[in-house]
Amino acid sequence: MRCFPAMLLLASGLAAQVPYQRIVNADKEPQNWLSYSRTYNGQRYSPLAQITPANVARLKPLWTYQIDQMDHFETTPIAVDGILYVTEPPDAVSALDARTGRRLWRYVRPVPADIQVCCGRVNRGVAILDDTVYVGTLDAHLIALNAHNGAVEWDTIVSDYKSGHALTLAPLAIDGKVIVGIAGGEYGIRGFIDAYDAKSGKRLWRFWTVPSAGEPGIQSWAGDSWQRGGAPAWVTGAYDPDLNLVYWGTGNPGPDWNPAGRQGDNLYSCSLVALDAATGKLKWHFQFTPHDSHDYDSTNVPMLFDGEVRGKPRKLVGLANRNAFYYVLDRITGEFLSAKPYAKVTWNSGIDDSGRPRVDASMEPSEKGTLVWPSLYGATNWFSPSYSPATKLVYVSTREQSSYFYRTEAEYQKGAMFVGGGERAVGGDKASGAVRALDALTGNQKWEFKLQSPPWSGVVSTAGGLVFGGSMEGNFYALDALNGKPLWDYQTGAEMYSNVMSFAVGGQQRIAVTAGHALFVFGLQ
Amino acid sequence: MLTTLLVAALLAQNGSAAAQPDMARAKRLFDTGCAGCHGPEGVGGKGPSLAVPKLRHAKTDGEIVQLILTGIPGTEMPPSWYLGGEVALVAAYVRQLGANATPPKVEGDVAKGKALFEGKGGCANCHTIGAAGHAYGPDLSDIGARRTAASLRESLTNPSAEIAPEYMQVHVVTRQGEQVTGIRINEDSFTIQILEPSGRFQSFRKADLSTLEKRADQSPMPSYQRVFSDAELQDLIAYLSSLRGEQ
Repeated sequence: MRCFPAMLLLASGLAAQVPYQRIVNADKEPQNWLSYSRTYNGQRYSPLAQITPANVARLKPLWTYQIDQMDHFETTPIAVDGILYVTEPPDAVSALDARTGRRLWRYVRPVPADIQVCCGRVNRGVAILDDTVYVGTLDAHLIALNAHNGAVEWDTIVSDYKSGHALTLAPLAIDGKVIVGIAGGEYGIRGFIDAYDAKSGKRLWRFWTVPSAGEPGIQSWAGDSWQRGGAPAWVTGAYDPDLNLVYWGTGNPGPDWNPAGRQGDNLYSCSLVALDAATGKLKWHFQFTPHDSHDYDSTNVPMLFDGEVRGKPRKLVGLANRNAFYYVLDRITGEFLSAKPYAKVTWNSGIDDSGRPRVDASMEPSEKGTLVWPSLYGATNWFSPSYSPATKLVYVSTREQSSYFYRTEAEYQKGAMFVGGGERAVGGDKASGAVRALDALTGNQKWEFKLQSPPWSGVVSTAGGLVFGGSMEGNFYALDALNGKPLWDYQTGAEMYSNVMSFAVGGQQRIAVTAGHALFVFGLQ
Repeated sequence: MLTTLLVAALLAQNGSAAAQPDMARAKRLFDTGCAGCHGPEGVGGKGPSLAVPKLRHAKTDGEIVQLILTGIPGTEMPPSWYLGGEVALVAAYVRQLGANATPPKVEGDVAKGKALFEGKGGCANCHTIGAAGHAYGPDLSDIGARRTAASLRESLTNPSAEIAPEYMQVHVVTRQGEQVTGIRINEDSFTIQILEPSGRFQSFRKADLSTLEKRADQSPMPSYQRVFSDAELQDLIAYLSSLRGEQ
């Protein structure tokens, strides 16, 4: 039996101060995981190299933390100096001893009985800055908690949950600011991305993801359809401290599957927007799926990396889109550089030189149902990809599935679903999944590891040369990052709606992932 | 909680819409989302007939709405994609089907069919009815409530026409040369679990197999087209149709 002096634990708790510079320089402390994707660049890559292809067979579960709710447990833990901060559905935050999983404190927020969330009472994690932990809630509050005891420091109302607004993402904390994007694209909301003062909770800026009358882009919406235009921003973005730009994906225009009332490209839905972090002003945007009619949100984590394109070194952003294409853009200008399908796609017949899809009109949702690849849930979804600076590969948890897309009438009522259709997914053995490794610069596939069914688990890559991911049949597994060979797996016993991360405690590397209603932490034995 | 609230909201909507439900639209919604399994006019097909006075899994209006929303776990009935008032409309249409229903009459001699099931057909070697029989194929205790006579006839004469995924036949060969054929009980990305006709359960890691063949188009059940005469087939269908489970 191991003993851990209580004073040491307390001391590490008191020391858990995370000034902005620590997050900027996160690579200097690979034992910690200080932001949703570990680093601002969205790479979800761990520099820890203790667990390798040679020893991963010795990986064993060390502890499990179980929650008391039946909703999906989708959190990415934040690891700071021996403490893990996790969100639990529907609206709780816990601080856990990273050695044992024993709880240090817990904050629980009651969920209003009339909450409206289209797709589950979920939360994907916290942000930390200085001595404060930040969490968004299903009733659209942003709450600051004392990192040492969970006490509420401030509570700001971001929007009215009764009209379908919610926060499900992990906030992104940068220098003095906390950034969040709103969810609610199925309720006729008008989306936005906000920055709040980290100390006071006061809103510093708001970028509306749908322009209003008189603003650039308004001509991309017919009539007053912009007022219910959707374009939510429900997955955590990335940040480039040098350019001081925030990169954030946006979701579907509303109503999702019946676009008849919103003729036009519907800016800035299904886009990546680059915002000046100081002002929230739009620096550039790139729309992946203009006038979307399949709910192909572009709320995928953007990965920032540098590379040479056509003989010229460039600052890049790569994004594996729900619409089944992997894109590379210049992250200074937003210039389109390349797009390549990484999964089966039938809704278009290719991408033109400007990056615009050649949409196939016969693939539109219909009253009788139209069979389209990828399905409503896309070739990937909210769960994270990973970029490894060691292999220069992007690892994408990929869904190979089709759906019959239906179109029905859509009538807006406050707080009610405003979608105009739906899907019937083709499942069973006709659907499958894979982890695919793509050349980060070209999107060319280097290898794939096939999965039994379309996954809902993101991946992490490590300096040890491994990629970890999960499956809907409960398999947690390690692949060789160079060739995709499966090296180790563990049956967790539940569906995995998860995002894998890695940290170290006491000098020992750990791998953490949720499965079912539990957090599993693995280490070498 | 969400589902409960949704049902309450939908029932409320239904109450206010009850004066003039748009039955033409309801029929369109039903034809799109339900008729594929439950047949046109809900007379049944792969799924049970809905043109019955009382539905087995949904005895009240609220239960119909709930069932459409959530599906029936463990069966082929999926959750619906209908939204808002659409669910209430479809529920109203289903109720109307029941109100106009005349119970289907199945030709044939139930007693003779039972004898064929237990004797000449050898059906109990693979199917259970209550506690009797051998559990390899689907349990038939309530098959009459779930399938129409026409659907049962097709399953008997052309069993490969449609095979439930949970009864997919697989054939594997291990790297040591052992061959196993049976029904895939479960499968994940690394392992597969197989039930042999003998009742023996087998579990393999896929990495230990040299062959993993999925016979998705080949039913483990033989065709009874030539085993039974037309009259015998009809008797067997009458017997199967009489199996309604616990009422």
